[in-house]
Amino acid sequence: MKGRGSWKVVLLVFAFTMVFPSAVLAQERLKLSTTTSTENSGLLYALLPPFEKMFNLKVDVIPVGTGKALKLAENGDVDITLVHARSLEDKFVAAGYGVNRRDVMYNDFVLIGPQSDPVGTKSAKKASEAFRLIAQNGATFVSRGDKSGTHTKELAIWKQAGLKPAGKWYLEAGKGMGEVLTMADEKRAYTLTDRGTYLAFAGGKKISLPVLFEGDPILFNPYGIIAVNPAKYPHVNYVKAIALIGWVTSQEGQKIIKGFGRDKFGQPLFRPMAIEDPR
Amino acid sequence: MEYILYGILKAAELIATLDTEVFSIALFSLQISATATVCASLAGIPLGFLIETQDFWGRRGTITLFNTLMALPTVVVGLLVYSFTSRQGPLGPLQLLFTPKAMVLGQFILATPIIVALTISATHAVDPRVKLTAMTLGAGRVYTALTILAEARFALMAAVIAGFGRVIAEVGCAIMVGGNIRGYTRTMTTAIALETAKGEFGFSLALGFILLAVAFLVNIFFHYLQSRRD
Amino acid sequence: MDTPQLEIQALTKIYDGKQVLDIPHLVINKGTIYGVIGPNGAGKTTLLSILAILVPPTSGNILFDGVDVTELDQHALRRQITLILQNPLLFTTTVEKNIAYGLRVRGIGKQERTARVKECLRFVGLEGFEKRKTIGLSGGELQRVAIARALALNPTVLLLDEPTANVDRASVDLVEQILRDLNNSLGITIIIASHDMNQVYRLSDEVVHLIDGRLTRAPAANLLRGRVVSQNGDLFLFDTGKLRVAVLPVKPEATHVSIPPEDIIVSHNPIATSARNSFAGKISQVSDEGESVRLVVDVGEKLQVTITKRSFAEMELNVASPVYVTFKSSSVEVF
Repeated sequence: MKGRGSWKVVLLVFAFTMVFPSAVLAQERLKLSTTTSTENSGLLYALLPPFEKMFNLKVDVIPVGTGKALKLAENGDVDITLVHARSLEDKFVAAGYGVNRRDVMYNDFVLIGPQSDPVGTKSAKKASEAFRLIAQNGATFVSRGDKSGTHTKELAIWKQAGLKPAGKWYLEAGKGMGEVLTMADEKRAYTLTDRGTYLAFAGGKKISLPVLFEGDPILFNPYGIIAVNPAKYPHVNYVKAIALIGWVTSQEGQKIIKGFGRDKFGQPLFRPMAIEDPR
Repeated sequence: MEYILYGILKAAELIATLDTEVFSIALFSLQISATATVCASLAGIPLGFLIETQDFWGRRGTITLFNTLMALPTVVVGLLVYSFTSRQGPLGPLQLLFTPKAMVLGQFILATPIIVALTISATHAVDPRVKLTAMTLGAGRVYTALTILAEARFALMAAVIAGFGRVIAEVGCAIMVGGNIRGYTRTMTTAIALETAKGEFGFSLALGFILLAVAFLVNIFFHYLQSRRD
Repeated sequence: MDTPQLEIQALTKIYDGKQVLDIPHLVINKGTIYGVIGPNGAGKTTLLSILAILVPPTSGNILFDGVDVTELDQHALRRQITLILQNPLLFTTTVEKNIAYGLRVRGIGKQERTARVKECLRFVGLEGFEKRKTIGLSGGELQRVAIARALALNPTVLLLDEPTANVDRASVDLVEQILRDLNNSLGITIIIASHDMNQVYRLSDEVVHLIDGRLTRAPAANLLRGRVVSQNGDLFLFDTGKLRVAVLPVKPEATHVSIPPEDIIVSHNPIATSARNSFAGKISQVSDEGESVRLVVDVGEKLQVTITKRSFAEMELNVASPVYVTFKSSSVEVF
């Protein structure tokens, strides 16, 4: 039995090293909910480390959909939230769940589509006009369909155009931005996307659809950061949440935001909003 | 086609260079699932043994219950653990949500029914003379129980492996209660979900290959043990 | 007189409303080999289980060395009185781990265990078998390992249920010799239960017969199987298939009869007596029993008859002599 005996010992040792060490450093943690597109952009991993070092804590970034990010904050399951859905943010604060909302940055949405641009969106003067061209010609359009910030924006544009999109050409994916981009690329379809995710994908050669329409003010996508109301949830790490808000709206923080993406994509992904021209 | 090839090459590169992020995610997955499986075994094996050997009112129903729980959808367990560990829930103050502990809890709930159900059948399959023989040789109740379990050892090991196999590959629960936090609660499965959504096929494939390798090894071991029991 | 090793008093055992054992008194002396003969279903296994303190009796007492067993520690007692099951089970591991099992239970250290295992293997003639896996052992090897395993506990009493039922023919002698040696050199009291009458008589110092849970007058020679075929007033006939025996009124479910050899009269010619049973036959065997002579007379069934040496000489009997055997229906024991 000797052979089999030692085999069991090896297994046991292996199992024990695998067993999760419960003595994990009991470090202070700040829970931040945000959207998947924000997390995907990678900005937070450039913006947060100096803050973490300064305050000797870890920020747990939980990437979920916009609705869920706010819901987590509503439930008190996170300490702070960073989203880009102004109307929902305002409702959130009005209902008393959040305090100290600050504008952090904005990026914009762009309309992308097939290189040939069959319906001529390039020549449109407004976003709503471009959308009307797509609907009238029944060109395939992929929608997020998931009540995210992007989806909300898209619906606002349809509303402005006075249209209710429906039909075989209008595909409601119910998925995240990256997946929708992949789908649009596959089908050579039009879709609305935030520039950040677009640059990450196009730059990474994951899709080949070019930007066809941009610049209309309605396409601007502002980001807000809100601390969860300590009056409602006394357990939240309010002090550190405020510190984080202070950081992202500070000179250094805004500077990091301004420069992010430049070396990777040739252009920054976001534009700072708290301080227009940080030094 | 081209991007699949690109993905495979990227994956090979990440694995060959022992990319830190890929391997730390892999290690973390193994730690969570191993811990959950160990706890599930410590709870499940004695429980399964007692259910099989003791007569009590509702015994048949209990066995059926555990057989049913084996097929619990992972998202259902995720939802359950989430609601319990959320601030709003009864375990709120423990601050378990979005930590590895919550993930271990969820996977514990997933693995235990499998281990219990398979322990019940393993114990049932042991020759009834084992108990009598142990008694004739002077063994007390505890020693007799251990002897019966020892006779069933291959089947029990297979039960534990089955439990592990179930949890190492699950994503529904891990993502809901862990929050998929980079460097903290990201497992192979949740990372694949995230990276694929980002279009990072290379990274996802690398993790996918490692996961497959783990599943493969687990399966081989499982079948080896099954053959030993017969 | 020495205190008996085991003593049974007024023992009964009832399973599911059916009485399987009814033994008013039984004494097993120290250092003897005791044999229990009985057909299958007679209650041998139950009796052994009760003696091994594995199963409690429904009523009655068992005394071990004069002390009621209910006053003693059950686990310790089971190590002193060890039962080897019919078709014994060996744990799926090595031979040495099996033999050392009882020692492990008692917390005996490794060195002592190894030595004891070696000793026990030597005793049963299986030196060097330590590392063998139990799967793949022959029937005889298996039984010997089971004996070695029981032996390791240094039992005072060893009970064996059908000790060679699953043993290959070549090893039967070997196993029987081991049992004798256990008794002779180690003084272990041995109780064997078997349906094999020859084996039991071969090995035992004392023999009892167990039929339908009751002990019969030992030794129950001339045990015949059959059934009641006619019930007529006070004359019942029991048919063994080869012989019809007149018996006193009995329960119609009777399955066995036994005729004490000393109650059978042998004669050259039929005797005019009131005895209802009279059969013609031939002597097939003669054996000198010292004070008496034992004959086997074939009257369809082979009956053992005991007569005095003198009668034997006077009648000038020999093998193949044609004779008549006669016995009363009241002599016949029915079960």
